[in-house]
Amino acid sequence: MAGPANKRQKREEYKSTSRTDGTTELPKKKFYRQRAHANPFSDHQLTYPSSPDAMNWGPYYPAFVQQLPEDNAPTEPSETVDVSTTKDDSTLTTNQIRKLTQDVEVADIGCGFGGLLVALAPKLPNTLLLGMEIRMQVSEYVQERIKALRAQNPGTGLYQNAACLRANTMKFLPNFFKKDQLSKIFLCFPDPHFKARKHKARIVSTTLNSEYAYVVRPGGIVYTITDVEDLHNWMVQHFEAHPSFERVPEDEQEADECVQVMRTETEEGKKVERNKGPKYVALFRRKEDPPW
Amino acid sequence: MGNLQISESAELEEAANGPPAKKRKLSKASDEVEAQVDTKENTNAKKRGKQLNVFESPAVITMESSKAEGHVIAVTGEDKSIRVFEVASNGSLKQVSQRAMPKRPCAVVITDDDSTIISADKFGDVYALPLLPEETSAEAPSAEEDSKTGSQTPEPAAGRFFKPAANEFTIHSVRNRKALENQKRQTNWPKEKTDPTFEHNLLLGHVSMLTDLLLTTRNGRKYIITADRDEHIRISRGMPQTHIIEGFCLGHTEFISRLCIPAGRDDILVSGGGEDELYIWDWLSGKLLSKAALRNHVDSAVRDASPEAGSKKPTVSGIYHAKASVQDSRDLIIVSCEAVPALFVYCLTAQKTLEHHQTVSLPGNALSVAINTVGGASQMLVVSVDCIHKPNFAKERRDQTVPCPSLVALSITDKGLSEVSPLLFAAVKDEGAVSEKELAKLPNLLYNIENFRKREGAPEEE
Repeated sequence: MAGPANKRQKREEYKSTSRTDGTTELPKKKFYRQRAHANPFSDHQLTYPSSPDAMNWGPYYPAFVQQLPEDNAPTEPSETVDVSTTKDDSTLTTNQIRKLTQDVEVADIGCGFGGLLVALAPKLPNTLLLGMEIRMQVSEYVQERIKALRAQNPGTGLYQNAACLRANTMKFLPNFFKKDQLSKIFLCFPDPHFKARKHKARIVSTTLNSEYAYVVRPGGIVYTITDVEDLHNWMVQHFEAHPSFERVPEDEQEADECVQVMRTETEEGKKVERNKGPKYVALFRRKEDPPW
Repeated sequence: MGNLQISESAELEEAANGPPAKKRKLSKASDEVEAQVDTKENTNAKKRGKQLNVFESPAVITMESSKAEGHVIAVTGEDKSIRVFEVASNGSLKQVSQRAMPKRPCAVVITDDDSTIISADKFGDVYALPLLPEETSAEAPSAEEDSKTGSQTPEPAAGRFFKPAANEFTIHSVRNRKALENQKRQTNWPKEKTDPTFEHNLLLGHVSMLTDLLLTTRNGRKYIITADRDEHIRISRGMPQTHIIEGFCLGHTEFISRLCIPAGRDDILVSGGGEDELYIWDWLSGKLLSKAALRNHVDSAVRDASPEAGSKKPTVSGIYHAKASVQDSRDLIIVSCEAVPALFVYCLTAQKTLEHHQTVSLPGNALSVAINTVGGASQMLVVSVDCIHKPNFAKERRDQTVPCPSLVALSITDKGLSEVSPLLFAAVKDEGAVSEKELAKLPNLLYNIENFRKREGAPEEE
C-alpha cells in the first residue's frame, strides 16, 4: 500500500474495527483512496474465474441464489458479500457452484466508488448490476458500501441486485460473461490516457470493442461519458468505426433514463459538476451480426 | 518442395548452433529443408553486410512457408521484422522484403491462397499484410526504410498537431494543473512514433501477449484462432469479418503457448502451455472434450536423462500433428517441452482423447520440429537438438568435446516414431567459434516460453 506507515495503520485499524460486527454505517472514502491510474497490462494479483461457468456469483448476489429443494432455511437476504469465499473459486467444481436465478445483465466497467451502481440499482430492481473496478481499495469500498446499504434497507430487497468485484476487464471480460449476456455496459469517465503512447491502455479501442460486442447482445447499449473532449471523440470514432456498433441518435439518448443518472450520479460526474466542467455523452447500440 | 513443412526450421538451425548467419553453415546438406535454411542465412549475411553489426545477429524466432512453392517468411526478433524470401529452383533463398512491425511478431501464418501474411504480436494485435508489399522494388529495403505504401489500419486518423487533451475542467488537483501549464509552455514536443507506412490491417486484438495463431476452415467458413498468455483461446471469424468473436475456449489455468488442429480432424483443437495437461477442445462450441496427462511423461523423461533431477512444471514449446499414411486411421500428436530432451507422442483416438503412445528420448533438449508431409502422409520428422546446453538444462553448458548432433531425423511409421540413420545430418559442422557473449544470450533466445509464467506472490501494486 502506498503512503506513510501511519496511514496504512489507520486504514487497517478502521477496517478491522469499525467495518466488522454488522455495522450499517457507510464506509468512509478517505480510508480507501487509491491513485487514479492502474496499469491494465500488468498481471496484478487478480482473482477471476477460468470461464463464466466457473464463476461463483452466490456471494455477490445472495438474494438471487437458486434455492435447492433440500434448503430448509432460505439464505438470509442480507448476507454480506464475503470476498474471502470468492478466493476459492478455483477449488469449487462447477456443480458445487450455486447458480443464480438470473444472469448479470448490466456491467459498469471502471465503476470507481460506485455512484452509478448505487443510483441505478433501485431504478432497475429486477436486473443484476455488476461494478467492475481494477483498483483493489476502491472495489473494496464499493463492496462495503453495498453491504451497508443492504443492511440499512432490510426486508426491502433494495441493493440486493448490485455488486462489485475487482477485475481487469480489458483482459478478463470474457471470463465473467458469456456471449450476448449483457444488455448494458457503462464506461463512465474512464482514464483518458492523454499520451499517444498510452492510447492502447484506453478502455475503448477497435480491438476491445469486439469484446464488448461479444458480451453485449444485439440491441444492447454501451453508454459512454467523459469530461475530456478528446477522449469523447476517440470513443465515438472507435465505436462508429466498428461494424458491430451504431451510435444512438441524440433524441433517443436523452430519453434514456440511465443517461440522466450517468450524468449526475457518478462520483466523477459530481466532481465535474462542482468544477462546472463539460460532460460528453455517447451511446452505441450493438447491431446484429451480419450473415456469413 | 511441395507440402514440405518447414516451419521454424531456421529457429532450430540457429538454436542448435548458436546465433545464425556467419557462424555456421551446412557444408553439404542432404535435406532440402536444411539446404534452404542454410542458403538463406548465407544470403542474409551477404546482403545485410553492415546491418549484421547493427543488430548483432538478428535471430530468426519463427518461420513459415507458403503453401505453393515460392516463398518463405521469417520473423527476426531484435528488429521486429517480417522478412519474405523467394525460393529459387536450386533451393537458395533471396530476401525480397523486410517490414518492421509495430511490435514484435510472435506467430505468423500465410493464408491458404498464399496472398496474405497474418501476424500476431507481443502486444496482442493481429495484422494482415500482403505477402509482398505493393509496388515493391524487389530490392530488400533497409531496416529503417521500409517500402512505402499507404497505411490502412482501421484506426481513425488523429490530428498530428499538438494540443493538450486535458484542460482546466478535466484536471482537479493543484499539481496536475501546474503540469498542464508547463505542457502549454513547452514547444519542442517529441515526435510520436508513427505507424509503419506499408499496408497492414489490424484484424483483431487481445490485451495480452499472443502466443500462437491458427487459420482454419470448418463447414466452409474461415476462422482465426488466437491464444494468449492470459489463458484465452479466442475464435474469431475469418477475413473480412475478423471483428466478430464467435467464442472462446476457456478453462486453462496457466498461459497457453501452442495450438494444433490436426489435419483431417478439423473439429478438434489441442492446446498446451504451462500446465500439467494438454487440453482437447471442440473449438467451435468452446467445449473442453478431455485432458491428457503430460507432466508424468515429462518427469520420467527428465529422470531418464539425469536421475537426480526433480519434477518440473512442463512448458510446451511445440505441438505437431503427423500421420503415418493416409490409410492409417491414427493421428499422432507430437509434443515438445522447453529444456526437455524428449518428444512425447500421443495418439488421437476416435473418442477424441489423447493416449500416450511413446516417449522418444533425444541426445539434447528438443528445440523445434519440422515434419515432411507429402499427400497426407508424414514421412520424416526432423528435430533440432540443443547441443550447447546439457539435457534438462536451459543454461548449463555441456562438455563440448563429446559430439552431439544438432539435428535428429525420425521416421514416422504405423508403429510410431523411430530413429533413422544419424549420418543424414552429419554434414552439419562448425565454421568458426561462437563468441562467449553470444553463447550467453542463447538461453533467452531458446527458452523464453517459461517466462510467460506469472510470478506468484508478486507484490501488489496499488
